[in-house]
Amino acid sequence: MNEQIMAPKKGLMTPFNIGAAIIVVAGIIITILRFTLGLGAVTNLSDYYPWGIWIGFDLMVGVALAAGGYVTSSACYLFGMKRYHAAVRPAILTGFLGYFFVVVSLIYDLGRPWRLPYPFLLGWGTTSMLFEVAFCVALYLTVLFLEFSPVALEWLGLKKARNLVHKLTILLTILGVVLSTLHQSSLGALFIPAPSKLHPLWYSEYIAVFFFVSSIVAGLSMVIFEGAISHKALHHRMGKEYLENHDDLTLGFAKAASMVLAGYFTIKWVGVAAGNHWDLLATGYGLWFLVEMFGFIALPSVLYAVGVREKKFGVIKIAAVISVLGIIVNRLNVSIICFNWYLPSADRYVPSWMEVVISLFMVTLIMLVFRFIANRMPLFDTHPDYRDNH
Amino acid sequence: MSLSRRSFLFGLGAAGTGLAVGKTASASTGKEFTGYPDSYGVLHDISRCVGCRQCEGACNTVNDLDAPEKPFTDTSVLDTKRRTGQESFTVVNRFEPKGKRPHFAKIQCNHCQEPACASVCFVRAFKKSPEGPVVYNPDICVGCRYCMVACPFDVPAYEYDKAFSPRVRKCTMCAPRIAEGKLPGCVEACPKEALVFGKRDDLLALAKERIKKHPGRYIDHVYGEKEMGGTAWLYISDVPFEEVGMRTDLGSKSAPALTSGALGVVPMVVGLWPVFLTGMYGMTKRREKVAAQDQKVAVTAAVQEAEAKAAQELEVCRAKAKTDQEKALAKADKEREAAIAKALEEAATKEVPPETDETPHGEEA
Amino acid sequence: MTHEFYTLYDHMLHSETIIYMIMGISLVAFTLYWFFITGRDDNADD
Repeated sequence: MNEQIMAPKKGLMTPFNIGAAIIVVAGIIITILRFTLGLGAVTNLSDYYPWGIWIGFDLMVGVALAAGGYVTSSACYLFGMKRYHAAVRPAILTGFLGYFFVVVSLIYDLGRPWRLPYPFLLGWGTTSMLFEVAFCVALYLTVLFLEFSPVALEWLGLKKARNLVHKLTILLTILGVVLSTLHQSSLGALFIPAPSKLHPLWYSEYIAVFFFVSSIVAGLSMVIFEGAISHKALHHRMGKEYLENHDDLTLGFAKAASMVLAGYFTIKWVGVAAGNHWDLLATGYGLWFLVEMFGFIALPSVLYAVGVREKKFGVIKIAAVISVLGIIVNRLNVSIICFNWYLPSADRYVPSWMEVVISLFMVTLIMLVFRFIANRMPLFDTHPDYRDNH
Repeated sequence: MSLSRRSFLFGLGAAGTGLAVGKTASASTGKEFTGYPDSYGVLHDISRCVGCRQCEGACNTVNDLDAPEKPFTDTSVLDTKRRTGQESFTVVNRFEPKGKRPHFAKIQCNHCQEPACASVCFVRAFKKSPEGPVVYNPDICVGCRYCMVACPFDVPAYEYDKAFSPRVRKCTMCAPRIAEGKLPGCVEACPKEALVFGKRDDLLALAKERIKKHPGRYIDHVYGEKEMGGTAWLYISDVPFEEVGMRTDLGSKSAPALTSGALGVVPMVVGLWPVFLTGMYGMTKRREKVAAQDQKVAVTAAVQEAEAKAAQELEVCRAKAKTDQEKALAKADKEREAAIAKALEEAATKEVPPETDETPHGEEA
Repeated sequence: MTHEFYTLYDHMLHSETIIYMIMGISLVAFTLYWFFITGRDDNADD
């Protein structure tokens, strides 16, 4: 399917396009229902579960998987890995689209979305972790937009504006890392005031650190994963610099991901030890915790390591896919699966099919916009006018 | 009469000040916060509740809520466990603790001293009023429902069926009635005096007094004194609280106290991350600069070396050329001499015939 | 400044609001300060 996702010149009737069209049509219909009949008409949200998959998947997972932007740009511009330069643009675009559609999902989920600016204009509920998240996401979306804008400006031929923004690269990168550190961790910290509601194996005083560290894993893995897909599907759009450094970047990021996963694995155990919850490992939730720990953290770490040593890119790609799945599992565990874990099954939340369709709708829109931009703007390649300019 | 007894603490002043009350400490100042002085609360004596649901009915009337399917006199509703909802700010549940008569416990917003809902709200839609009630302002609410996620008592409900003006719904402790000097609806309706309204400090003293006065009857714990930093609603019971559906694992730390650690890291990141990152950037740039300089030096050295080598080679070549030339000249000389010698020799051996040969030469000359 | 807070929530609301303002100012000030520090560097470009 990889080859078909963004395949050029195969006509419009590719399986991907047909699937996308169905999802988009269904998504539009459900969107109308959502905004005319209310949340209750399309979701399975309840008073016990005020947050469903639009928060647990679209927001929590979306923000984590969009971490590639800050991870790649800081590696390249701040930590001196200049050879990763060609990968910055696609990573920034994915980050920008990720955050943009997080905000779109939020508009679906909020009871009164037109009041979205209230926290900044009227509210200033500064004691809330969510205030911090809202502020950071709003600022970071702006930063990502500016970081990406040279691509669009090169495409449009606006040289002066492009060179002006280009001068701000380092400033924007540093601001991006600061804001990402804050809101990636704060998404975990959202649950800190509710120790009684989240299962003790997932609740930890360190949950903010867990979220931040795992966002680095998510960022690195997504860059590898997307790189692999784009490499096949958008090969014709890729410049010499991107293609020459692609394998080097994959190996470098895989090495980093392996180490970060190892660190993440360690601190997760520290969380269990700090709460002294060893006895809970023998329960059903404990088993599920062990699956997450070994299946989605230790396993991809080892696979990455083996892939790097043996220079086996197939193994690295598998590790990236498992890591990304691990992030999805973790975020859903914290926000839904292990939330209100003590409730009887009748009171538990299972998403409605319409909620699932809206989530798929968002993912589809991201892919469609990415393809649109990658096929037109100098994304995997520098514009000929600016080749020596970075 | 009974009304005056039910509210006997209404205007009594702070008779119980100085008693142990729920305290929350700030890690940053070490200061302890004891809550608003003279704020009101309600004491619910679970041992007295008979499950008549009159409090539910009164709550429904006072708050103008939709009428439920079954009337409030129908106690078959108690067969299933319920929670608060958008049209029911308070519900009574029946519990059957092992070996004991059925017990009934009322739930509603506990009006925390340090409300989780208020501390997590990013638009300050919730407020702990100095009188005690935690009140909600729908005019500013964005509808993120974080309050519902954070509430340790699972109290707030949401109007999911409204598309344009959904609100969070919960008990107000009848704040408007309190302002008029009236009792909360549920307290006024209770026929068994299972609910007593008054100043929280006084109620706490009353609760402890009841426990003391009837040894062996009550569990020696006032629920709400310390739970989640303390609540305005207090409970005493003759059966363990977990047997009447109340969580006893909440701990005494309030939501803002729990959050303060993580919130405290934020300004440290903002203040120090840029310092660290510009440092990283500076080191990277310096490394690149040094590398570039080294390269430059290396290039110059290489060029010089190459030039020197070339010059030397040229010299060698020149010298070689010279000797070669000399050799060649010498060789040529030698050859010439040899040739002359040879010619002379030949000439000597062919002395006679050349003479004949030479004649035409001479003739020509 | 000596206003008394009865709840931790009120205290935190007050102090955090000020902290957010400090953070906002510091991000702008830091940027300007960086330009001041590096203003006379030989190669002040990126």
